Amino acid sequence: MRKGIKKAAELLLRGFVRVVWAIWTLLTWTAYRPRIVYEDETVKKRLESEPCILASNHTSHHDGSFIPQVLFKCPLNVVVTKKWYDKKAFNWMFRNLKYISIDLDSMSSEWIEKAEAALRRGESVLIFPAGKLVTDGTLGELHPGFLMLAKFTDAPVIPLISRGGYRIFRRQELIVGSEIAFDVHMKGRPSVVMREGTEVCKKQMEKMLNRQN
Amino acid sequence: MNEQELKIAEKIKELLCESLGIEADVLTNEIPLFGDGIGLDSIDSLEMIAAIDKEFGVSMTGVGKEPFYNVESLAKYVASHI
Repeated sequence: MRKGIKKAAELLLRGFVRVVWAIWTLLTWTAYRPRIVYEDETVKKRLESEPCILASNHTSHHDGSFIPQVLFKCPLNVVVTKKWYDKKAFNWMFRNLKYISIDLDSMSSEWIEKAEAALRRGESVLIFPAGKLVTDGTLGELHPGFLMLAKFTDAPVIPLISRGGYRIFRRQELIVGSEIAFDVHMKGRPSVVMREGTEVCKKQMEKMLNRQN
Repeated sequence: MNEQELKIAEKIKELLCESLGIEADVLTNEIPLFGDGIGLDSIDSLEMIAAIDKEFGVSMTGVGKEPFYNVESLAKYVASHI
């Protein structure tokens, strides 16, 4: 009996979270008037038809909701730090939406297993390789975990840039780049090889960040 | 280490040399794998975890840092979870 009530409560909460998310998505589209720019038009179809790893800059906490709300046709799992995932105010929502917790202070690989499972289900994964907010106009130092995920799953890595400062009723732009051209299966110590890969990715993202309209 | 742990340690060394490009002659059972020892980092640990899972069927997901200290501690962990 108790189990039944608990299950019903969970279903109710999940339904409620989805309704809140749908309303929030509408508000996002109204307030930030998102403009999506595809540098490579073929990526648009790829995002909707095959699982990808999306690596984005991270200038605001809005990024974690804005990007999946804008790319709503592409089922996205968002990697979020454990510090935020465990906050009581958000945990009920993260648990019921597609968010994956990452513990940056331990060697736990739980996040990568969950992200691999999501990609194998045919869903994409959004990750912020800087691992924290970077608000000085640069991309910050990128951590190579997303490239290890690409190595384990062979999923393409697509860079994203969100820019515009999230000002109400001003356009927030999401630039979707072309697939990162880097061989993640290159022989060598991953910590060395993947750092080269993050440099390749960073250069491409810097070009996108400084792109003129 | 007992006989089983020694055998596992030898296999782990092979795996680490192959997947992480560590020179076989520097990789002893005792040398620390991270920091001042071999100098691996958390990215390398992901490769290590995948290789151990594939070879021994032992998942090291969510395990603390202690078993990763050196080959001996890894072998002991694998032997007790195999």
